Amino acid sequence: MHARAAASFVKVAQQFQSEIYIEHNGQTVDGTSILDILTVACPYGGELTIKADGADAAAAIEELVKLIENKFGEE
Amino acid sequence: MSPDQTTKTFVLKGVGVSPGIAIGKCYRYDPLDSQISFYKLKDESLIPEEISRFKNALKESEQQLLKIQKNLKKANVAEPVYVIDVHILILKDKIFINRTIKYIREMSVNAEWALRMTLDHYKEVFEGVEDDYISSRVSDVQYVVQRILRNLSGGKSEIVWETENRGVIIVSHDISPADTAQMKLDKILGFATDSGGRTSHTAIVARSLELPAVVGLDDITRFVHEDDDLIVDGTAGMVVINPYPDMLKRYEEKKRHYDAANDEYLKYGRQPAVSLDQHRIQIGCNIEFIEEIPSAVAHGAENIGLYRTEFLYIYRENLPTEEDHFTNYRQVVTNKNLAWSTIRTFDLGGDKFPNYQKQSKEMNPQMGMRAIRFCLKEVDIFKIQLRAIWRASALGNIKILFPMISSVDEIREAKKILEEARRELIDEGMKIPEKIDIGAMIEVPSAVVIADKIAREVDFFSIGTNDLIQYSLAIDRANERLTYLYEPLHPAVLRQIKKVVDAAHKAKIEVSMCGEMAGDPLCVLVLLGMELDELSMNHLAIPRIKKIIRESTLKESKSMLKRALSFNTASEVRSYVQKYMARRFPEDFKTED
Repeated sequence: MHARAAASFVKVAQQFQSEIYIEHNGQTVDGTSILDILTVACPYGGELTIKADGADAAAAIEELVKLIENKFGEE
Repeated sequence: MSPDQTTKTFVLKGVGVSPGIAIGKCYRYDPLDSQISFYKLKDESLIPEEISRFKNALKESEQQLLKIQKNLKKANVAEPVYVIDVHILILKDKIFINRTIKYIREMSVNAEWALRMTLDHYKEVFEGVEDDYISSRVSDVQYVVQRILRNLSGGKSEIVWETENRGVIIVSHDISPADTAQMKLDKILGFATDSGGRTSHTAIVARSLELPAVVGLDDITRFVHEDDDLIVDGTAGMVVINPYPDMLKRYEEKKRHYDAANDEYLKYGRQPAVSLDQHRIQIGCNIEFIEEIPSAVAHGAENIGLYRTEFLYIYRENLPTEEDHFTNYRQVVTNKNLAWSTIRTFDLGGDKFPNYQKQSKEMNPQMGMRAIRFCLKEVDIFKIQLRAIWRASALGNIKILFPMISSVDEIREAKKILEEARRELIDEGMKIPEKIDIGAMIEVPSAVVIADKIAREVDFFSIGTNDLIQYSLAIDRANERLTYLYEPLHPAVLRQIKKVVDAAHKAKIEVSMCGEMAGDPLCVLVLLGMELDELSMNHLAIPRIKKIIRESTLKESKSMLKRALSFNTASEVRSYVQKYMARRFPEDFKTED
């Protein structure tokens, strides 16, 4: 994931109480850590799984999926 | 007076890339500070204190970054502001923070040492990532660590963009776009760097800010200390460290002269470049950013003779969209002070494109897959730019220039794609002109040899001397050990220019020159004698070039050229031209004492 996209992701993820994780290629990282996200190196068009655990998990997932679908608000 | 023991005077010679004289205190800009102390804590009771020292430095760093970000947004800088966002998020990254605290706690080391270990950890992690873009992001971590280290060390090494009122001369190994993005530019008097050449980032920034700069000094960072007195003579390509008093006085006087002369020269900028015998030559300006247009106009540019579009592609993550291109081109063409703008399609190699990182490294990129060659292969990327140029051409006077043409086939192919782009736009219902002036950049020797053939395909030529000299004389421009061979006045170069001009005029098309040579006062009469129709140069050079043209005649320049062409060696040509110009324009070519 590119730095700009990773930054947008972290900013959204941090708004929630839930623990948020990203899974890619069998690797699981903290979705609120920009360095973790960068180092999973998910390429453009690659597949990743988002997991959230906590009271606002559903809302968190919804927002994050929306962000990705909107290509991180870049277009 | 002789220099005293403590402050020894040094003179270093480099490449002057932005003219003028700057006198001021040295400010060392070091990407990684080497004067940090690493130590073990005396006993464990000091750990909590060390952790809070680290946390305070984090907080301070964040405050500084937020401030920089605010200023950048206000200044409307073209550099990407989001980079700072990324830096702030790294600062606040809890995994990053916890790792550092863990080192302090478990290993009983000071915060500096712990940070260094965290950085080393991330260096290893990022190195392991295959994606080149990601692995180079370690530079962001490095940047953040460096800032925290600075704050840990307290007072010293406040960065220049946060210093008090006096101006400074930046001394560094090299300066990157990310560095300049955060500098408080109005506090800078000049630049002096170890590496770099005429086209390095430092050079471009310095010229666009009209600040003196000398690059390619090899090891100035080894000789100079913070707060040393410095003179940067960007005209002569020289830096003086700790000048002794007499020398300083001489330079202060020189600087006054230079500044006064500059104001004087500006008057010539507003007048047309017409010789005493009424021969007129168009004067254009070379730009890279639209922000340069106002100073181009102020210095007397009549048109934009070369708009380099590479910057639209670099320092960004995605390819620029048609709209990105269009927004920029629109601002160029709608400027009422400019007769026309020549947009050169991008001159880049595949390595500059995000999706092309996997291509193998080229042994000789200057002769590699770049410019028009790359464009003809990657038609989709090329067309995005061409469409934007067509659309902008509906709003003002545009010429299009294709770089690195080496054969008739390439220009035909480029024209075909240009026409396809036009048809597509028309099919989409856009209103665009029937025609656009098409030019070939003449910078490859093969194009010179067949200039008569290429002339039949295009509306104008633009001679790019930087590459033409490099290719004709087989000199790698980036190789500092070969700069002594780089000679615009080499008989082979002069003959080629003449051949191109003659071929163009025979085919009744115009020919301009847009390389560094076009703005070199020493070469003006030679070029005037060649009867080039246009000279395009960096804005600072315009007034001086216009002045010389206005004070000479076409007739004399023709006979001067004839003489220059009669010599056998480059040094004979140079010495003749130098003597001629010094005699003819004693004011403009003062010889050094």
